Amino acid sequence: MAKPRRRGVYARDVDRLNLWFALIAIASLLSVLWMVWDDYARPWKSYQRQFRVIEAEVTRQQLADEQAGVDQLPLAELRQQRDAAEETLSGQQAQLRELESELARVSTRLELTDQNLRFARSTYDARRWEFEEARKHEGEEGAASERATLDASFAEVQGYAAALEELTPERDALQAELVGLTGTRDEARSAITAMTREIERLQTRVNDLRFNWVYYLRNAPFMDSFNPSVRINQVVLNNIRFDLNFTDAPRVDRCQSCHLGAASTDYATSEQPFTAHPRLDLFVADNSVHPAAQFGCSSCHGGKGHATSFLNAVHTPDNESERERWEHDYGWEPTHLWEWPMRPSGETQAGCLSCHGSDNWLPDAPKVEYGLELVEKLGCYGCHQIDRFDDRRKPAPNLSYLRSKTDIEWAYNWVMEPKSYRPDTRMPRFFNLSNTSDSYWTERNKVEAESIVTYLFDNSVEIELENAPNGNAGRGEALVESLGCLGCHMIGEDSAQEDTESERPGEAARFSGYRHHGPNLSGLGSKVSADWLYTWVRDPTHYWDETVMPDLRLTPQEAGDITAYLVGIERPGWEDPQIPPVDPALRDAVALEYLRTQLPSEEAAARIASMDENETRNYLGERLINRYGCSGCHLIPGFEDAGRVGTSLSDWGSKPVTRLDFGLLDMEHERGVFLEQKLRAPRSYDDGRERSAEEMLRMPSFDLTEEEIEALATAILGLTSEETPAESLPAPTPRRLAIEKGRHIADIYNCRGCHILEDRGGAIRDVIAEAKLASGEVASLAAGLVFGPPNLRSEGARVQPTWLYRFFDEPSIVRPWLQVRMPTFQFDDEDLNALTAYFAALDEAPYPFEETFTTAHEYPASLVREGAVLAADQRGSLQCFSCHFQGDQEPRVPPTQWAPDLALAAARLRPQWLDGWIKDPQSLQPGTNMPQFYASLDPGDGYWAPLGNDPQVEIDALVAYIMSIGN
Amino acid sequence: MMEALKNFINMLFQPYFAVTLVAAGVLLLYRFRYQATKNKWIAGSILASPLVFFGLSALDENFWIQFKRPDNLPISGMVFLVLFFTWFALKKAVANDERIKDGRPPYEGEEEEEEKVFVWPDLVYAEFMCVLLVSILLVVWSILVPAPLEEPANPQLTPNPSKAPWYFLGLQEMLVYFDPWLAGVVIPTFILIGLMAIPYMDPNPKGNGYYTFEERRSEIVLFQLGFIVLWVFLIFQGTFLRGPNWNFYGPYEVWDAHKLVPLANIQLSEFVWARGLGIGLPSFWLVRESVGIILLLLYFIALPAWAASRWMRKYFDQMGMMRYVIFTQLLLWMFLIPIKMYLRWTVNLKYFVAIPEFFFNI
Repeated sequence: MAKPRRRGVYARDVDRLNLWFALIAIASLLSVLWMVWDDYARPWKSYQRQFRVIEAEVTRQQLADEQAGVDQLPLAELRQQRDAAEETLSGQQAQLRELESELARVSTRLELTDQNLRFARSTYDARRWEFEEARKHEGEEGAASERATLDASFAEVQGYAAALEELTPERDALQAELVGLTGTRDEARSAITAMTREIERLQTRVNDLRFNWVYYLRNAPFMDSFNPSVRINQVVLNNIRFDLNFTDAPRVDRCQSCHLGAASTDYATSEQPFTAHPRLDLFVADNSVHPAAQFGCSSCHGGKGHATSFLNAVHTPDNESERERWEHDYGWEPTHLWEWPMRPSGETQAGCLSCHGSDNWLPDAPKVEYGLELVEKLGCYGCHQIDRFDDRRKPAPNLSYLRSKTDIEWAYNWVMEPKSYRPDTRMPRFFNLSNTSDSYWTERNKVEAESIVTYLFDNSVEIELENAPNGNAGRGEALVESLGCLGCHMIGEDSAQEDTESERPGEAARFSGYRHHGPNLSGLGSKVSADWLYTWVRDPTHYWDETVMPDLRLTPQEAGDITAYLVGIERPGWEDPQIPPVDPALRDAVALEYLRTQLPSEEAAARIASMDENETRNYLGERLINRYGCSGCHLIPGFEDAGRVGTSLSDWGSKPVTRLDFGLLDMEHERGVFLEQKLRAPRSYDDGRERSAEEMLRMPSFDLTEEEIEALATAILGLTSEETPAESLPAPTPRRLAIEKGRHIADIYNCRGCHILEDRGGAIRDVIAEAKLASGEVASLAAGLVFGPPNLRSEGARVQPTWLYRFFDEPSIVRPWLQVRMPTFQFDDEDLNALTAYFAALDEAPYPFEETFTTAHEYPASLVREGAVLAADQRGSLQCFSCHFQGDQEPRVPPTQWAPDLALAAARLRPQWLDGWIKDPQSLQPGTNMPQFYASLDPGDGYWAPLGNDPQVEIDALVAYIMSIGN
Repeated sequence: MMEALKNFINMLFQPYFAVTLVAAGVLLLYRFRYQATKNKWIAGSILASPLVFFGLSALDENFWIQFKRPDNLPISGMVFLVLFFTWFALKKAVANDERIKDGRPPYEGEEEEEEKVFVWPDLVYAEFMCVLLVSILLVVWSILVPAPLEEPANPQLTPNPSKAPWYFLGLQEMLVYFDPWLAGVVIPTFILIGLMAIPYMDPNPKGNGYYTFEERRSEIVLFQLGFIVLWVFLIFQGTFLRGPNWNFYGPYEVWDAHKLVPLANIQLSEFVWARGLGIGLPSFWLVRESVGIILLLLYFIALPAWAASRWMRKYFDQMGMMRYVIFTQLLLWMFLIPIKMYLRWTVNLKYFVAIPEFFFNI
């Protein structure tokens, strides 16, 4: 121990202790100051300071614009008026001052009288109570003194009231006199204020935005706990809850503490974090459908909404370069302590599904919409449980009668490599994928495919087929091209799908998708027999009762011709498919592998030995169908009750990343990244791993394009376990529900393959128009479109629901010149009602309580007569039947101008619609051939003198006539 | 070269090596206490070793990830503090031992040291400054290393690894080797009781108020083996060497959640009946587990009884029957822990006695 310098009576050197204490005290002070500063200096504050500068700039610009925009001339005039009035007034100063003081005196007296009156009234009320009490207890006599007081009090009230009535007009007169003096000046003044109000407001704002001492004082450390101007902007969303596992809490979003310009178009071009939301019409802005105050930000974008720093909010970079920039600028790193990182901007639309999970269409979220369509089309729900697709039938053909349809050699080659037979098929590939393409698996794949098709054929049942009559392939081809087959099917490649160019994801694919609704028919001759095809086109439900293939009401001859044409198209290379020989020992080995999971090895070996080749194939086939989940999509005998083999996707978007097996792949551990890789190369997570056949991944490859992968991934990421309270969901109005249901049925039966419905679809129209153009029947594509199925815009407003219902059930001919044929679909009552309601809902037409349609009996006979004359085919009339059919009677004009049969109108059309249609056809259906006869509805502009040339009367007559034809 | 060195260190930190090495380290420190405290170089290297280890290891990417975690920082500090104070106490003890050997009183017993000093400023002033210094340390620490708050707790998604608070990591480690009933209830109770019982067990009046080693050799060594090996080291191991799925990871190894280690363990009864005698397990549990029960009875009863008449005779005489029994039982429980550990590492022993019929396992 060192010898102390100067201790005195103490053990320690007090001077030195003091010195130490001084140092420590200073250090302590510094550390406390540092703490205060650290607590004070939050990153969001500097953003608010930056934004203040930007806002001031924007406001100054607005101020300048506003000032430039004000009409200077009237303003100067007003100022002049004001100045003139002021000058006049200055000459009347004495009078003015006297008047004002008089007014002040009278007003004061008035106020005092009013005050006294109020006192007197309350006194009177109290006296009255006293009197009533006294009378109750002591009788009328005993209450005499109270009565006297009450009366006196009442007289007082009366007195003041009278005085008030006297004074009021006196004051009003004085006021009027004063206004007479100053009125001109005051008017000019308020007019000037009105003109410059916006400027004043902006000017005030510009002043408010200055960095002055008030600003610094309010936001200084400690002072900022009172009323700072730099503050957290937050919204509390009581109707969008945040799941805290043991409880839930309102979501709290503070994003706008930094994203200060998000809600205003003024900042559309500002740098982040101040940029305006790109879709203010839909989001954030107060007048949008999703105002931030109600929906917040994190409910769609994800991330930690209540965080106030860049890292804590769990921002996710969109790409590698952004990631690098963030790492540099913000020290960004992946956050594993939050299960809901912000969605990268490519995936943002997934958030829509939190609330719009049951919508069929999401036109403003095209990526998700396309993704869901792909899920539907590819039949993902065959293997994966997805709640919203629970009501679907199996997405792929029924294999119960497979042996009647095709042969086993074709099936083997198909299963092995579906796209080699049909390049655009949806059937995925199960074999020769990344984990099954080594030399062992090449052989084993053959064994597996052979066993599967053997099982399918041995277990399918023969079904009775009709004999196809001899047909003419040439006629058949013409029929296929004209009847409408090509609305759902394609034959070979087609150029029509390239026509639609749009920035919407999947638009082109979707358009061609209408014509991929059914399989591509090229190569059919290599697959099915003429008898099967003939039976199928005659009655599709005979082979498969759940098919959506409609009945085109073909005559035997037509069906025979079509059959002859289609079986004549063969797939090159598939004329004589073969099953290659497989190694029986390998087959036994694979079968043994499966048997071993059920039996002890000796028994298993004995079983194998006891089975002949075909039994082994059947056994193995059954196990393999079970493993690959073929029965998820196909109806297979023996697998009627089989479950789904894939993982559930119902809330996959909430699956913790830690539950995903990224295998040995070196990639970012994020849900979206995992999913895209899985869709791109389903078996790639097996790469480099040692796995037994049973453990290996088995999802087949759909050979998706990058666009499809992104859309699918976005949609699946949107399927979360989040539960949004009903208050925040779109309101389930009857109209909305009817439309959703109708759209779903329209999708199932592919109405848009032929018709334009809600401005989408009509894929076959171009095909037909092109054919007509090619055959020389029409001169232009536009003219050819007349021969396509009608555009169904405003169909709900146009036709009577009863007619529509019957038409869907049993189509009748409306446009006799069309070769394309409205098929008979397998609609049940529910479908029919839903479709009818759908069309009515689209146009907000009355349904199901129809308006009473005025029948022929109710139209005055004279009106009908006049209408008939007006419509008649003669000079001076409208000559309706020069274009419109009348029953079987063909119109005069060339077929490209033909129009529907007016004899059907009474049963078909709504008269109200007809009235509007005659007045302005183009507005109801742009591009229609129907001329607008009445450009003006002014009386006198009509055609028919007997009706007074009054257009409205004439139209009424026409409607009356048309609605009476046939009655 | 670097890789090989890291692999070598990873191997040294394997539990069986590490526990052995740390125990050996404790024993060596006390065996070579003169060199360890008098020789500047040796003392310096002992004190510097944790700094060097953490300093160099922090250069390794994987170690750095664990080292920098805000909740792990104090553990690194603890390693250094424990080592320093162990050494410091030893240094004082050695100095006193030398004085005692020379017939002088220990340093603390010097007359000059017994002089009274003033509470103010000699005591309170200094204490106050220490309080301030610690406050400064805490404030600065909390500014530089923000509290490691995690996401809202989710019963569907527990963290992997799920770790006990740092001071319980030793107990959590025992769960690897013992039935939860023992590791979570019985052994912690014995630890508490044992610590409370120390003053009553300890018959040695020496060392009160001064540092000494010579006069309390076995007491100090026994305690330090329990404290440093079975408590402090297990906390270190639980913090830095136990990763996802509570698997062991070397300090420079990646914490790969998919790492698999063989976890097949065997009951003692299976060793005896199936592997040893080849006659299969008896169906009656008492017969089946008889070997384990006998072994444990020998360990807990015969061993102390036998020792009482042999090399523990001195203690037995000093303490008397009652205290001797309690003392040896506590001691035997303490040693059961490393014994079980070694048996697990060497022969994959699961339990000495496993009676699932009564949920009873030792």
